Amino acid sequence: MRLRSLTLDLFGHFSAKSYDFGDATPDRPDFHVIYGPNEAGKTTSMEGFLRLLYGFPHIDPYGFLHQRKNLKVSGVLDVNGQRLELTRLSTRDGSLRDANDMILPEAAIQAHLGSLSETDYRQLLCLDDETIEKGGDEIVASNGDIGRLLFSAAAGVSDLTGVLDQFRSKADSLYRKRASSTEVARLKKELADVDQQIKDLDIPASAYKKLKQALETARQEEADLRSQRKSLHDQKAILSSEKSALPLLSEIQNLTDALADHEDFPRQLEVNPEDLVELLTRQNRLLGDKDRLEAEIATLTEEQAGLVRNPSHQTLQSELAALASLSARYSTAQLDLEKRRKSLAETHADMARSARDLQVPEGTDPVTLVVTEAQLQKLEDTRQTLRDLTLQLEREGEQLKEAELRLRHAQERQAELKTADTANTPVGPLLQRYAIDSLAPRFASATEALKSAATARDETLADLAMAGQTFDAVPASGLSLTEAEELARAHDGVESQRQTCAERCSESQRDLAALGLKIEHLTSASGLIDDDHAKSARDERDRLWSVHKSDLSPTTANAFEAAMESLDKTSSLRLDHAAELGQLRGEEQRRIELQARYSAYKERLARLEEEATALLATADGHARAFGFKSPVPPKLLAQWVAKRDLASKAQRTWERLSQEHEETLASANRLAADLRPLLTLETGDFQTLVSEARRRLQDERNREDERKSAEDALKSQETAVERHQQRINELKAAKLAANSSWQALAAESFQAPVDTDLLVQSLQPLRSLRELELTRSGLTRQIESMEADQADFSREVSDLAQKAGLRLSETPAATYGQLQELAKAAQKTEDTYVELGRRLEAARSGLAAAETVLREIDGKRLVLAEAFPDRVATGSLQSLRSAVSLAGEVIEKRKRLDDLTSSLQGLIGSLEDAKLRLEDKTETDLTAALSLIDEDLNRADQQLEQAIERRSNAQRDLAAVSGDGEVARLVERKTTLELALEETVLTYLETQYGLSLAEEAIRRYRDTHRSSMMEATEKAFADLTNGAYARLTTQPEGKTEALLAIDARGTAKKAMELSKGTRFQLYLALRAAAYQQLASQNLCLPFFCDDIFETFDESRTRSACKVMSTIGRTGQAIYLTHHQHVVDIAREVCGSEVTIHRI
Amino acid sequence: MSSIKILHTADVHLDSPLKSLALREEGLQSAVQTATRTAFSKLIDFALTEEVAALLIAGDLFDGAQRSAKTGAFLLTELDRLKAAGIAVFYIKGNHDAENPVTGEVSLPDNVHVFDGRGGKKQLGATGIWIHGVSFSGRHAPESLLSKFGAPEEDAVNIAMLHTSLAGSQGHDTYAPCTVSELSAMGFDYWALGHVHKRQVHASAPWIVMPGIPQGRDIGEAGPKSATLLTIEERRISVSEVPTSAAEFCELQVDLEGCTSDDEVRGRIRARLQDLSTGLVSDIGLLRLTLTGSTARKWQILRDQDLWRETAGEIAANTGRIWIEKLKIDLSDPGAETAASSAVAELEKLMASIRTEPGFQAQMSELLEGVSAEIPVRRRAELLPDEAAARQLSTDLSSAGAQTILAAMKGASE
Repeated sequence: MRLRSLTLDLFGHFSAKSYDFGDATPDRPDFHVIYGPNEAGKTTSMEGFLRLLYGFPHIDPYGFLHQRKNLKVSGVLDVNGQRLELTRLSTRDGSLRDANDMILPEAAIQAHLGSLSETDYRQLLCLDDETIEKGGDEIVASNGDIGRLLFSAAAGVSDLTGVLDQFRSKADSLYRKRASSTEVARLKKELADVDQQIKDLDIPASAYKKLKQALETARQEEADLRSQRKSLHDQKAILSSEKSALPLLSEIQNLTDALADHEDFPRQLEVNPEDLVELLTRQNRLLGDKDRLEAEIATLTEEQAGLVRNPSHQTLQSELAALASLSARYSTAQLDLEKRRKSLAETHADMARSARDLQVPEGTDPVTLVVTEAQLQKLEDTRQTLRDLTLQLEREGEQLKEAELRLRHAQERQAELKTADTANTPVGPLLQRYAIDSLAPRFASATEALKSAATARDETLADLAMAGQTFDAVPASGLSLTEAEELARAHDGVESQRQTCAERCSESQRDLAALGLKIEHLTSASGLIDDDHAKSARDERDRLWSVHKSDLSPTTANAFEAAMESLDKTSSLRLDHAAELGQLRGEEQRRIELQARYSAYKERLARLEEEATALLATADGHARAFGFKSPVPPKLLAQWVAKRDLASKAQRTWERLSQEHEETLASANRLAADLRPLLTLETGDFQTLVSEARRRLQDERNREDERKSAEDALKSQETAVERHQQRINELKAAKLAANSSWQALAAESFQAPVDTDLLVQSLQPLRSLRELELTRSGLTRQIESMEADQADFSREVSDLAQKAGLRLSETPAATYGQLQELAKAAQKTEDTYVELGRRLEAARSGLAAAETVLREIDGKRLVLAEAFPDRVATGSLQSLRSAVSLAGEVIEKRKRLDDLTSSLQGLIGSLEDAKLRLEDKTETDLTAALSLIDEDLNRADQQLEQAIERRSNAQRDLAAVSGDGEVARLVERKTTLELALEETVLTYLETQYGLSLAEEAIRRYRDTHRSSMMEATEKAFADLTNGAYARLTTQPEGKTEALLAIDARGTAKKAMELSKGTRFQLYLALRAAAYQQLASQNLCLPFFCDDIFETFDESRTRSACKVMSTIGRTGQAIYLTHHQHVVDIAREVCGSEVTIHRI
Repeated sequence: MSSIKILHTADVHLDSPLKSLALREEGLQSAVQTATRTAFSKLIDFALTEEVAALLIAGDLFDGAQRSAKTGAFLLTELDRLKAAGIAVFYIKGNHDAENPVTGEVSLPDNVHVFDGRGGKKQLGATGIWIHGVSFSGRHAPESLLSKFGAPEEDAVNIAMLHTSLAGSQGHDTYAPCTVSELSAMGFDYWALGHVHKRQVHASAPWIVMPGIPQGRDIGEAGPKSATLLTIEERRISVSEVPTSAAEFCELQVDLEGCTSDDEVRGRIRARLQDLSTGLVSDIGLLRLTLTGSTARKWQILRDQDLWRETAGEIAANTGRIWIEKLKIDLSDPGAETAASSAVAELEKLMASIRTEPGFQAQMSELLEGVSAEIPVRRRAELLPDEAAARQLSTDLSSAGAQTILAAMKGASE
């Protein structure tokens, strides 16, 4: 699948932003670089692509400009040669649409994504700073071996460990040998429990009959014992009754005798003797009450008769109450009247004083001077007008005086300025001629530039100093920098080759020595016979053979035999040591090679040394030409030549500047010459002269301004004096008119003659008079009202006194008091009379009640007495009580007799039977017989108890064999448990089989895929690091494996020990390998990188571009960056094969 | 002569337990435990309500393995109820009764007539009905017992009781062998047979009736169970079925062909269980459910099989009558051909090939041998009678195990 175009319709800050990746061209990598500055939206574009594939998340961080519900991206995908136009909306359902806006199922896109989830896609194929590191760390550091992680990442099977763990723990929870916590163990235990329960509860069928027989026997035994015990109980009962009846019989006899004399007494009593006692007490108390009440009635009647009542005085009470308010007013007036009269007199005096203030003629009634409020207001207004005019006139006069003074000052100042003379010659025209505003800055910058150029020149010259030699001028050039550097580089090259060669030479020498020793050791230590030795033995044998062949004598034969033996021994020894011999030959061969190499190195070394010497000589020649007395090494010489070039450059700069600024400097000098006589200054440099001339020009301008302002001031003061004069004349006329209207008003307001001039000073006396007049009329009214109240009160009081027949006292108030006393006394007498009447009534009714109750008590006594025969005294309550008491005792005895007779009946029978049966029996006989029976009974009870126990045991045993279903239920449970056990074992087996299969399959899969993954990763990493890390390897670490990168020197490093840039390269290599792996499974997807080369150096960035281009050859690679240099490098590496898009 | 009713049953196997994993559920335990007792009690209840004249028990009243005296005690209580109502019981012993000691120890009430091994006949009260019968005298009866029957009574209804496997079935021992035609020729009006657990009316003139077991005890005895009621009017016999089972075993396959969502799957299971529940004769159904057909949900269902087991259980519980005793998943995947390139697909192929390798098979056999020792002896003998069975079991389990773990892997990579 490849991305042909991507459109961010509404996403992030984009609206309808489109990228066109065009058609894929065969033989040209599908590699694109999207370049744009920070925040141009590169990451947004990558995210947009992921949204197109996987939809929008519930809360989308890219919904900041467009609302979440409006977000939309679309794109065109090439899938296996087909064009797939897709639009992704942010709706909940049906978010994937085709070109005709028809809803597509998610499967339409999922089918082309292998089984990669969004997370996998991000971590594997959409790399940014975060995902490249996170995904990479997971691959390298996660628990499990790297091969598996690589393939699972590539295959999208991300959680196989989880599945295996889950199955393992499932199997473990079902069954483990000898474990007690597994399901199988639990079921087995439960099964054993159930078995035990069945054993405890169940009874075999054979026991059933035995139990039944036992019960039958026990039952019979128990029945026998019960009947024996019953007969003993019967005997005991008869004896007990007889024994109890004996005392009863004798008591019956005694009672019959005692009751004989009281036959006529009542059979039962209506009254309780205690009730009679209470009745007697009540009678006594009532008699006492009666006497007391009679005495009280006599006393009260007497008291009442002694009271004197006066009805006419009683009415006074209400009449006095009607007068109460008048009386109060009378008392107040008595206190206030005098005070008010005095105030009235004072007010009169005040008014007279105010009249005097107005200086009216003596004897004028002040009241005639009181004016109305309206008149007063009118007077006030007129007076105010007059006063205002006077004040304004005064103010204008003062202002006129001030204006005249200012006019005088202005005239003086003008005269002063005219006398001031311009003694100095003006400088303005001169400065203007030289255009000082442009000349001055040019002069300054020229001076500055020349100064710094000179400094630079001096410094570079100083830098040339070397080996104690200094230079005042730049030495003439005989050798260019390029030549000098070439010389130095050549020398360096020769020198380093010489060193390497020397090292190798000595190394070869060492190796030769070691090999020599080894060969010697092989020959000597193992008794090995070398080829020369063997050959000489053979030659010797051949020689002796030819001797022997010709001679055939015993001597030659012996010699030949000895030689044969020696050769045989040698051959056999050589055969025995054939391996060592082979080695020996190999080593000798190596020695020859080494020897040749050593000679070649030595030759080369000599040649190199010659070359180095020649180069040094050339350098020395140049140094002498520059004036150095001692030889200078080529490298230092090159450095020095570079410095000399710098110095001559500085010299040229200084010269050029001097020429450029020549004219400016000349103008400045001329101006200074013109200014100097005008300014008469101590110092004559250009800067000071220009500055002083500018100050002088400013002074001239200021003086002109001052003169103009003095003229303006004079004119304005003259105008002011005229204006004030005119205003004063107007005010005087107005004042005259106001005064005459004031006089007229005063004359018409008063009936008496009043001094108007005095009045114009203040109207206060008129106002005081008006206020005092108000006070006076108020007081007069109050006094009249009080006097009327007094007269009314005196009249009323004297009327009442006359009615009550009382003589008048000195004042009406005193008479009023006496009348009140009389009324009170009359009321008190009346109250006493009423109280006595009430008490008398109560005493009389109490007496009547007591008498009634006494009669009732006597009636009761008579009724009770009737029950007794006449021979018994019952005349009083006391005697009645004695009779009742005796009758009670008689009734008690009769009852006892009846009870005894009936008890006897119960025990034995009628009184006659009893007498007959007990005639000759004594208590002693009966007691003895009873104790014998008790012993027998005890014995029988014990036997019965045992029999019952036996019977109930038998019964219980039998009951246990009831038809209850407990055992059947347990058996059923047992069966179920057995089934469950079987089921669990089978489930365990199924799980375990599945697990074993999966583990084995995964292992094989891993082995198949691992090596190719590792190879691909290794190659990509080597490419990315330009060969700095040529190999990858793994190393077991406990249960896991660590990935190690091996650098050119053979040092193994873990991912975390690599620099960030190199680590990123490793992680990129892993992804490149995964991409290749996916591609081999026919899954090609667009691969995005978001500026992950930031930490790469230039040459590795170049390699990374190549890796991207390689990915582009298999599938599609898109790189997003904001670095121009990455774009440049991509162009440099891929030329026209990369497409650059700009945002 | 007014109509007389006689109830015929056999193979009660009192207190023989039900074999179902569904009984792990406590709710079910209280409903169906001691189901053979419940069925027998129902039978007695029916006899009392219908006022039958006699109950015929044609052998295997007791189960061979259940030897508790309590079983006898329960039987006595029930038979006493018949005695109180004046109902006679005729009983011949079957092979299981002969081996069970309880049979001899229990003294049956006097309304029960037990025929002995020599055979005999007895009149049913004052009616014109004679009952003939022969008991097993040992565990086995390899020879025919027909010769022990006497001639039928003249002018009477003659009923003969025999415990027999008839011609027998392949692979099983034969018990008192005889054929239907031999029975027909004996001149009896009704043959009250016992021994075969599945009801079958072999003939109607004369009647030859195998009533079947009154309560099925495992999936092998599936379906509703009953006793047989004879109604005799004017010497004519008519026959009807009386349901007795408290619970019945049933099997059901639900076809999930074309299901694409879990909701659909649930819907189909629910519909089928509803139907099943409606047609159930007993109060409770113990269901072995198999999901079949080709569906895209295969792997999800397989992966979440525990969940589906629970779901099916819940759906069954909602019917109020059905309990799932086992859920089997036998689905195929319509898309199996397409996704062949993924890693899981490759693993699937690898697993399939590893399964056939002798090395892995040896490993499986070893594991099976070791672990099967944990299975109780009786179950083990049934499960693994011979080498071939063991091999087959290993193959089946490894296939299922591979499917299950594959389902989980597919789930993990989803």
